[in-house]
Amino acid sequence: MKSASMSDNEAESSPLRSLASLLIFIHLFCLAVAITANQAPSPLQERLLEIFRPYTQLLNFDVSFIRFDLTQETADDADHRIEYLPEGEDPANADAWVPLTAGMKGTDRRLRYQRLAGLTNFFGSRGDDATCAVFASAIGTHLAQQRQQPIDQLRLRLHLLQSPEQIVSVNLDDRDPNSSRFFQELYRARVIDGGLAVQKVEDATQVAPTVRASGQPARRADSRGGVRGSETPNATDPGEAAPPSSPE
Amino acid sequence: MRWNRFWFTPADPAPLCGLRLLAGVLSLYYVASFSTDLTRWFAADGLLTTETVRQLTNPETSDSGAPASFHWSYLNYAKKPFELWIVHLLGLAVLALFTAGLWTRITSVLALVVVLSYVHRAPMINGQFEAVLTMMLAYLAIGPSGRLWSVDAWLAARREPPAGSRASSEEGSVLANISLSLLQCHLAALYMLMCLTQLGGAYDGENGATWWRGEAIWWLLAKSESRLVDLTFLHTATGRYVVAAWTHAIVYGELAFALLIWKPLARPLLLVLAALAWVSLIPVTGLVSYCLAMIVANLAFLDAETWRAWVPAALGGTRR
Repeated sequence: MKSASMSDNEAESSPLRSLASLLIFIHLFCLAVAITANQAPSPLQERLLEIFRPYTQLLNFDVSFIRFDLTQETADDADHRIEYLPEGEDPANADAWVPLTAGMKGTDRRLRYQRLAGLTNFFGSRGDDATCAVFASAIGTHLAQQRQQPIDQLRLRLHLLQSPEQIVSVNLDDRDPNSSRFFQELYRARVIDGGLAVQKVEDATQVAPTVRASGQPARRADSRGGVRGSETPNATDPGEAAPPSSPE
Repeated sequence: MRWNRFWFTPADPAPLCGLRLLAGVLSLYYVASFSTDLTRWFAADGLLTTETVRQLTNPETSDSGAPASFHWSYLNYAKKPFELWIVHLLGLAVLALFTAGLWTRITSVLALVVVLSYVHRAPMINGQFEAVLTMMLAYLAIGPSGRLWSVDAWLAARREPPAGSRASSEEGSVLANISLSLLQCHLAALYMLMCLTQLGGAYDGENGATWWRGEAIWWLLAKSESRLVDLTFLHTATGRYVVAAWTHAIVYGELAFALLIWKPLARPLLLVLAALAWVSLIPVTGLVSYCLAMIVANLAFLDAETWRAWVPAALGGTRR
């Protein structure tokens, strides 16, 4: 390094340096608020975030719903999948359900489908059927238009994790991470009118009223809650596994 | 004054130019990874139409009347497949120019716009990788990231005598320092965030606090649909010690990085340890792009002399 360039010399002049200092300080303050509000923001942080949002969100500095902690051993940290059932297939036949995924493991192409499933399951596990209906309708409409064969149903499943004890269990189902014991259905919907409407299936005998995706009360996907949470999913099938348990 | 010395001392732009090459490659990968599913995600009959995204990111105003979200993307205006493909190919071209270092002052800003457009088109399918990538691109757009190892530098060398062009490439730059220092501060803050959120997990007496209890790596490697390598053989008593040590090393490493990376003596050791930690997370998390992006971002702390020694060697002896 020999000397400052022409433009840099200009930057070194006092008024310009003062302005640059002010901008740097404002930027760092916005950043500090956006980053420290990642988990559970205070009312003050909420208000500041709202003020800074045009800057922090536009430049993607707002990391409030991104899981930098990687896991907290909650049901939200398990794998998720969206599966669809082509029309005419038996819902009881596990092999008839087709997972909505693409790409190789480790690629961002595949991760995007996993995140879509994870976010849908996040709302499904909290009983937010309105938001689930938005996802289900979008997926149902797309599949109905892309595939020659119409879609009958969509379901969202949680793929629970094996504890070290289960790996050495005498029970064969415990030892197979892909056994039905490790899957938990959170949401199921019947696709109607080519995906324009979805009808939540409560169980084999009970059917909820039809929910149309258009005009649904929207809910922010990037709200404070994000995809984080420690609640146990509320929809369980008899005989299916519990959320990740302690290895102790 | 320490503030002025920290932010306004002219710095060698070599680290910034090296980061441009690596961040450019990551950006190309990121946008290219949409190619196979471009219309499936974004077309008018795609999985996430603009209307669906609008519904999910809330078009309503907040309590104070301000818009609730700011997710502008030029992809919102392309609905038909051929329109999407045109803007997609143009975006890839911009990123290729940025990586190669042609008209870098302009293409560095355009590269940020391109990547942010994909990020904002469907924010619900973003992850950690996007946050780290946009962070790097934002700061690379501030400094002279095309002064070295770029087409711009090659063109300048053809116009100027060799002595003059070498002198200009070795000039210090205040903007390079501001750009690099902002990136370093942001990265250290992210490391602190990682550490605090990992240690902040609730403990209910049986589950939770998994990073404190040394079990977090187990719950990552138990995700059979995400992991790249099956390491569940670590379920044994000895294996659990390995899992605990691995978990604690990640947390302590992040804390050490955020606090001690500013000490020149600790820097080389921390950079090596951080790289090892991120490489170790690739097989258990399957987050290949995120881990690689963090390794690249860490290189913002690598000194200019090392960049000037390594990059020409990696580029096959090219000095510019």
